[in-house]
Amino acid sequence: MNTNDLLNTVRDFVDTNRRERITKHESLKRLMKKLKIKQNLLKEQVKNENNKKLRKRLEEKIRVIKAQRKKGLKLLKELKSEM
Amino acid sequence: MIKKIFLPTIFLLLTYGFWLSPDFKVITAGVAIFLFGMLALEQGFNAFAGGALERTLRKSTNKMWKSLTFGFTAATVMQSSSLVSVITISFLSAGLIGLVEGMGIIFGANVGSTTGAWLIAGFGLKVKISAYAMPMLVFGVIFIFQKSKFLKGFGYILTGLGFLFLGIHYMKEGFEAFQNQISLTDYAMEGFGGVLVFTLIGILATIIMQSSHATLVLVITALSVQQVTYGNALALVIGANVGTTITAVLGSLTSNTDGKRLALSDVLFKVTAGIVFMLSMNPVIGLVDTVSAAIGIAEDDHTLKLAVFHTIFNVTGVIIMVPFTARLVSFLKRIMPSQAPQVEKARYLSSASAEIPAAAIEAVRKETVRLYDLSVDTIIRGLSLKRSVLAPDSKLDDIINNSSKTILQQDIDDIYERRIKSIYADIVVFISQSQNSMGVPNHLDRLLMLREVGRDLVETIKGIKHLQKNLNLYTIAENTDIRQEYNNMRIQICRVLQELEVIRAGDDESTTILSLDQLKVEINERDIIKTGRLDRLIREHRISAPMAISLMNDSAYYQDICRNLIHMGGILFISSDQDDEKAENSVALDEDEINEVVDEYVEEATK
Repeated sequence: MNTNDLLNTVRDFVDTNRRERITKHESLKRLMKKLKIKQNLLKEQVKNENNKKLRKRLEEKIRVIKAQRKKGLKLLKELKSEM
Repeated sequence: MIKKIFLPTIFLLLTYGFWLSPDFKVITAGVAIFLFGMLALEQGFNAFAGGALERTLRKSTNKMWKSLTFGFTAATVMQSSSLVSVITISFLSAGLIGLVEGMGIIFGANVGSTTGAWLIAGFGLKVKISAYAMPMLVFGVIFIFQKSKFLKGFGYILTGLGFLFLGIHYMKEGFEAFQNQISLTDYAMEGFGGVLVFTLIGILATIIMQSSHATLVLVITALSVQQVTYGNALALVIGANVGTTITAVLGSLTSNTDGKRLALSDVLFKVTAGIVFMLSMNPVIGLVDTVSAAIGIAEDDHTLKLAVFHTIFNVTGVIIMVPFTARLVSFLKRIMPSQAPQVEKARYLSSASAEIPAAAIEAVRKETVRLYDLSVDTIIRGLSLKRSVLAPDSKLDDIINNSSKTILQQDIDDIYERRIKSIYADIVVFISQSQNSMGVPNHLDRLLMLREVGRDLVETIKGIKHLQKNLNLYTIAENTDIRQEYNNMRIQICRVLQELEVIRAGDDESTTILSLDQLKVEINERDIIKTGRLDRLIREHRISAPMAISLMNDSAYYQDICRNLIHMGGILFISSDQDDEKAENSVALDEDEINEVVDEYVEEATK
């Protein structure tokens, strides 16, 4: 570990706000990943669904997840810039 | 098991009795009409609860002497202590008076009824109030048809009295076959044995004739033709006094515990006085002679002496019982405890856990989840469905659209009072008590949020109650459009519950409270007014105007129900990991963002 990395680790540990932001960033990233998986799963389901009504519902779900992901990615960006 | 076979057994026995004896049929019909009269009377007095009648009654019975005077006057005017007793029981059941006041009235009425004996013995006069039964029924029913609450209540009182008289009339008619078989000379007996036997005959005769006055007439007639000795006649009067309580006992069958206690106090009054008089017959005869001589009654005027005896009997009863009223009340309360309604209580909230923040939060969460479970049961049954529809893989559209039968309805008000409100009240009290021990603001916030969950659930139950009436009407309607609209509401509510169940189970990692956003979007997208569907249905004459109004109102209820459930689920079933919870909350869509998604959808759909 070089000096810079070591300093960063020490700073992460001492600065509570920064530590909080990191935790927030990590859990948000985890959530985004989960949502992405769900979105892909729903896309697969849409492809295989013959019932028009059910397909429409699945598409609606995808639209909502997209909006949530859009919001989440924006937040991730903001957190990253603050770190 | 016994409960299940009780009713069929009663029906079988009654049917057998009807087949066996036409008189039995008349007697039981009389009892049924009498009890129906009691119900009508109680309903009538309920209309006056909290009003002028209650105030007047309270004022005229707030002291024992006032209650006694009230009962005495009422029985003198009505010439029937039994009638005053049953009316007092219905006053008590309607909560217009208390048990002590009721006892005062009944004791007073017992003395008041002795004026009848004076009228019979002195003038051979018999006031027959039962002649008014038919006009009472006619006028009563006309009053019931009136819109005013008080006229309606008055109508029920008149009808109730009419039915009471009619019931007594039929009971008498039914017993007439037995009445002719009573021949007093057959039982002539001296000494204590005679007193006992004639008291029993007096009880029996009064039960059969449903009137102590009728027994008194019989006794006076028998005495005048020397069919019975003077001593035996007095025993018959004791029996008549005890037997007359049967009407009050019968009347108390439809009343609450207080009414039953009152009827029992009347029985105790008469039985106590009866026993005292039976045991001291000779001194009592001496007392009657002294009093009779003092008021100028001839030595051999046994009929008037009988009236004196009747009066002394009831006055003595009052003298014996009044000093013990308080003890009698506590005795009656002990042997006839009030049957408190089965109220669901909190299971997880203990005072010990209120002191420890984490334990308090967990206890409230568990209790709230329990409240949620009870509420879901109520909601599902309110929608005429079974809880199994909420299984994750169940196809709600198919199940609900194809279910045409209505599940036996439940009284949501009753369930709310007994199960939901009681637990919620416990939660609210517990949270208030544990607020001081919450050191960290986060803990307090969590507690207050859980309290919000309870409020959402209560609001949901109220919404279901409002929705239920039209839901029952239209989900089985011939008009397919209105049926579909109401089924859509059922489907959507179930969809929210189904999603909440999946989130709660936590088996599907990808389903979090964020999935609730999808439901919020759906509710907005399917709004019958915003989408113009309601206008279209009206324009194309597919639904009537009253149906349209119902739909407008009920769609507001249904949306509130869904929103409350979603809001509640977002708090109750949020991730247990605090960091994940924060992340989920930060990504969850707010109202504007939901509307954006909906607008996008509408735009796409119109393209």
